[in-house]
Amino acid sequence: MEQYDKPLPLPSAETREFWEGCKRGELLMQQCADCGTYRFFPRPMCHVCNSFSAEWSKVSGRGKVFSWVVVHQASPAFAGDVPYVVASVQLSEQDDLRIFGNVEGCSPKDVELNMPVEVFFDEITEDISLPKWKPA
Amino acid sequence: MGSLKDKVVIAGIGHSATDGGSKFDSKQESKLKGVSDVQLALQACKMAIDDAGLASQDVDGIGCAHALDSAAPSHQIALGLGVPEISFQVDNYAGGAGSIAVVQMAAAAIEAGLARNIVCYRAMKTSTAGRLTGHPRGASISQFPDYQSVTGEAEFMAPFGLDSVRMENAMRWKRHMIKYGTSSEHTGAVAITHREHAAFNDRALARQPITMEDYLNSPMVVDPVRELDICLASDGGYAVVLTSAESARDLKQSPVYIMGAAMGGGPLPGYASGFPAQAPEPAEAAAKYFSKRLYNMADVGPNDMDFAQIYDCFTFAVIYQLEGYGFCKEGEGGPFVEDGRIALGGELPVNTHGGQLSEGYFWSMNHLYEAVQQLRGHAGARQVKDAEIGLVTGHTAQVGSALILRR
Ligand SMILES: [Zn+2]
Repeated sequence: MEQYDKPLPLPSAETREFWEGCKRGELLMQQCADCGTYRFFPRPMCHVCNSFSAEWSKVSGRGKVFSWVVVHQASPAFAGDVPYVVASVQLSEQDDLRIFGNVEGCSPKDVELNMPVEVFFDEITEDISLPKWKPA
Repeated sequence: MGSLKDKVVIAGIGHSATDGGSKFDSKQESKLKGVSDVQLALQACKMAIDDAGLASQDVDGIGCAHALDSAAPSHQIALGLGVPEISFQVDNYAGGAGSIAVVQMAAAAIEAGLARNIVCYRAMKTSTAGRLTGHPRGASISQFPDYQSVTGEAEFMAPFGLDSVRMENAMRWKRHMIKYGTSSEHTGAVAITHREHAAFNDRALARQPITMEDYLNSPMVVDPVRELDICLASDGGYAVVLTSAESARDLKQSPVYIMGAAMGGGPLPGYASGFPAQAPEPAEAAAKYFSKRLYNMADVGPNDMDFAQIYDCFTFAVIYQLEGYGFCKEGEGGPFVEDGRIALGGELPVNTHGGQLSEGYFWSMNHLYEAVQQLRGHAGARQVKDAEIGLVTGHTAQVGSALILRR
């Protein structure tokens, strides 16, 4: 197999749980242990109640396309993939809980605003599986 | 609340040699390839100091903005100019909204008595160095082994090929198009108007006229964004000198007064750190959160502006801001740019120098330069008749900054 030549996450103390979840096939979101608000990307404090305590909760992995672009001119690592779709996916758990990812499994032309999508995990290396999205 | 109105003036303006590409990512040879960004900044600052009728020894404050780079930091400029004693220094890490914000900080410092004569500048080499200065987050592992792993926010973007500001902005623009029916012809009108203005500006780096057909045939970069929607890659620097209204009386140029100043944004503001996935609705240009403060300080309204030099990293950034600064209602920025309304001779001439889309990408310090030229009546063939008051803005997707100036 050819060497994977695209950038990969280097998990930190704050993001490790997220990537561990992906490896197991689970989408985890940080959730405030005090008020229950979800937040993403991972960060130390709840922006609603300013609590520092949080847990990682498994979410449904379902959502809808909040917005998207079709990349036609890419940076070197992705030049072979054009045209590809990157979407901002709004998760069903909370209105402002959004995550970026590729939408695959349909033509870029068929992606629409509010299109229902579900997560799948693209196993890239032993340590990293990337959460991506397909039409639900 | 205090007010900066009419307390501080722009006493001098300057620019370096400029050069660069006619395309957003041009790697074409710039004649400034071998010239450092520090030298470009110094050229611009020296010209601004001379223009004010001051000497470098009169300068006691330095300010600039940067983002992912650290181009020409302020201590190197203070050293280069030979500033004898620094009373005010700021390097504002704030992206495209940063330059105009720095000018506000400097003005507030002068009004508060912290410093007397402050130079603010921005020098960039996006033509020679590209847009990924110091942080090639979309780099392939084989090309850039040092960047094979990404960390922080980029962990959730770069692995998916979401690796440039234009992609994040295109995603926001897509929603505006769907929500309000804004079309490619609207962004096309912005691109064409900027190029028309550039034809009257010797410093403009892209002066070739374009038609709507050219625009619509311009290659897609990140659908819905075409090459002609993106500001130029360019090398150069611009600078201004600020001083108090009182000391300006003895200086060489007729002063241009700061009437109003404001900066800010809504929820989750910030450059990059504002993780655009969580940004509010795209139509909520940051300006909407602070334009009332801006106009209140200046005691004027949008209708009083004789021109607007609006931060144009992308064509659609102009449309967002026309809405945010109250020139039209939210969602009506598209139709507003039609029918020559933003062209020279129109109702609200916008970016009379050609902006970053056609003059060069200098984080709107070139917009400030042009605004001062207009208010001095020195804009030549592109002079707005009887220009008395004008708007200058800085902008990122989530924060903004603006000045209202008068002659
Ligand atoms: Zn909370």
